[in-house]
Amino acid sequence: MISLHHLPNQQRGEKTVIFLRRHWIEVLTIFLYFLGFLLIPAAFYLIILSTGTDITNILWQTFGILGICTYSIVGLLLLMTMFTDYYLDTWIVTSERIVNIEQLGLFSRVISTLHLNQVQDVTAETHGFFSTIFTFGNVHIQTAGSTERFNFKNVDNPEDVKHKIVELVENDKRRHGDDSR
Amino acid sequence: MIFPLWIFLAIYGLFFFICSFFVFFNFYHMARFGLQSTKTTIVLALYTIAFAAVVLLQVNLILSIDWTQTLSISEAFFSTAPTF
Repeated sequence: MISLHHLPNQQRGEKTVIFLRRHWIEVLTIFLYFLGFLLIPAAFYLIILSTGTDITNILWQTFGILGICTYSIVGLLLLMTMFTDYYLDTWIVTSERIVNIEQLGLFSRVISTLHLNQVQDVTAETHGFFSTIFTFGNVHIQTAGSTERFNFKNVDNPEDVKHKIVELVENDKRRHGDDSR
Repeated sequence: MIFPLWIFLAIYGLFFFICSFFVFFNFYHMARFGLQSTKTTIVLALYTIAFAAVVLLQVNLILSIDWTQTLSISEAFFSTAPTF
């Protein structure tokens, strides 16, 4: 497991300042999927009953039970995978660097590290009705001389995150000097 | 053509084994890469409870059927089709 007090390649005096996951609304989305999973077999059962089909015979019982078993294990697997993907996507900002950990499905994981002295620009974005109401959005971090940038996706209070990162970058420049000059 | 019912159970068992493999990987990823905190412990406990509940449900359902019975294809398709 990852400990915030003992990050990989941790430098002396390095402290974790911000720890982020995607906004809780993503968990709500997973919960709504869960409710949908519960409603679909119920609706299917009502449709079958309304046709007057004799579901007590061996064929319907066998395949009905195997169908329920298949549905339950597949539904559980999908929900677990969605939640694991949400839970393991994290962004850690320390006093020295930014660590971007992205879980892409079950068998793919990308970990990127960016030192604060490489940060050129930080942009916070909030688009859409729900994003505005629940104050979540994206934070883009542009590095020097590179087309790629770090993206904090659907994080809570992106403006606050942006301000904190800018402050940390300024503090880092004061401590280590401005290497971009 | 006549099929013993346990063949369908065996096919399902193989499918369940494959799904369990992926469920195990969810556990593994959470335990290996999750943040060291109470939340992660709670998530792992919830995963365990959910998987155990699903297995318990399936065992109860599967035990309600006599899998030694046989199924005739002609009887299955010509006497049990739903009417709309």
